[in-house]
Amino acid sequence: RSSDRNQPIDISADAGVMEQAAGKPSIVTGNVVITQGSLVINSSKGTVYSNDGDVSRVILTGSPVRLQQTQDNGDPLTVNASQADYNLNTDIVVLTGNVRISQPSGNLSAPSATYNMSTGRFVSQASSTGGRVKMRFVPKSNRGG
Amino acid sequence: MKFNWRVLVTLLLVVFGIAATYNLLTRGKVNTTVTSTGGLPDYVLSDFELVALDATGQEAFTVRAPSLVRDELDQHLDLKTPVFRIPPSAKGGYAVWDVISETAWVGSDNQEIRLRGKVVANTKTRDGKLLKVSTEQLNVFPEKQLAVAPVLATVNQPGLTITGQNGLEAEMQTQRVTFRTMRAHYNGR
Repeated sequence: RSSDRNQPIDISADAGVMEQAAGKPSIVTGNVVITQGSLVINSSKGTVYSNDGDVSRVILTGSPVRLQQTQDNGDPLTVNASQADYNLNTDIVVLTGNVRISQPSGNLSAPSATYNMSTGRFVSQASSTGGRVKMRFVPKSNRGG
Repeated sequence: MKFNWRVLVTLLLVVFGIAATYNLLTRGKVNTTVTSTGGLPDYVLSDFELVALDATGQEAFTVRAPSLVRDELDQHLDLKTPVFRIPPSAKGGYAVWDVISETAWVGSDNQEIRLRGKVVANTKTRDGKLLKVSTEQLNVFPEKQLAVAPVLATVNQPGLTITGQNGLEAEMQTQRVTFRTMRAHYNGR
């Protein structure tokens, strides 16, 4: 939901190292689960950057990183990627590596994509090495209940 | 009158019995006041402030408490409701840690402090924000500037709460904290 970005963030992991030194990120590893409102992200590692005590950026890696969210229209959204780079100031998530996006209205796969959390819009990019963007739209009549 | 040695032996046994009983009773009384796990107290202090030095003569920590017992066997200290102040080590650093607990055990060489019961350790980050560690057990190594909680421990900072469900380890000068089985709640925005 677009309101997710104003919600508290909860992080659980097998281990975590919290850094105080300026510019040094905190690292969480092992069964990392991040929740923020309806957004749930599962990954194996997270690198958390904070600025003056405020979390500004989270880079998640996993095989894959799985991002699930309920959109403003109530539809579920599931995204898989090798890496998700979530900028909390711009609400933009940059997804790279085997990106797969699925929602009732259709699926998309691409080498990389950008997801705007506040507008819910995706922009996908083909890659110079030949990775193509593939989309499949499901007609409304064929969408399950 | 013939000397009856049986009477003498009986008298001696009675005297010996009384002396042994008296010794047990009085010794018992002395021990009940001693809380230390060792032998008799070397000395007892009340309402004191103690500055402990490390091997190089630098201040390892300062502690104030209503009661301290020093054990004669291994010279460790047992303290009640202590208030510790641990300065940065001579090797640099800036953070002073203030630590309180219900009881504390201090090793004879001041190298280790075992804090038990409602342990709260407070310090400030480089940008002046409060950083608080709360747990039931904290082992502090002043010279290494290291604090280890072997049980559940929580770190609080403005807008952020992080718990190590299986404990944590804090480098007291860099304030880098490693959590085991970590749960974090952030509502800084």
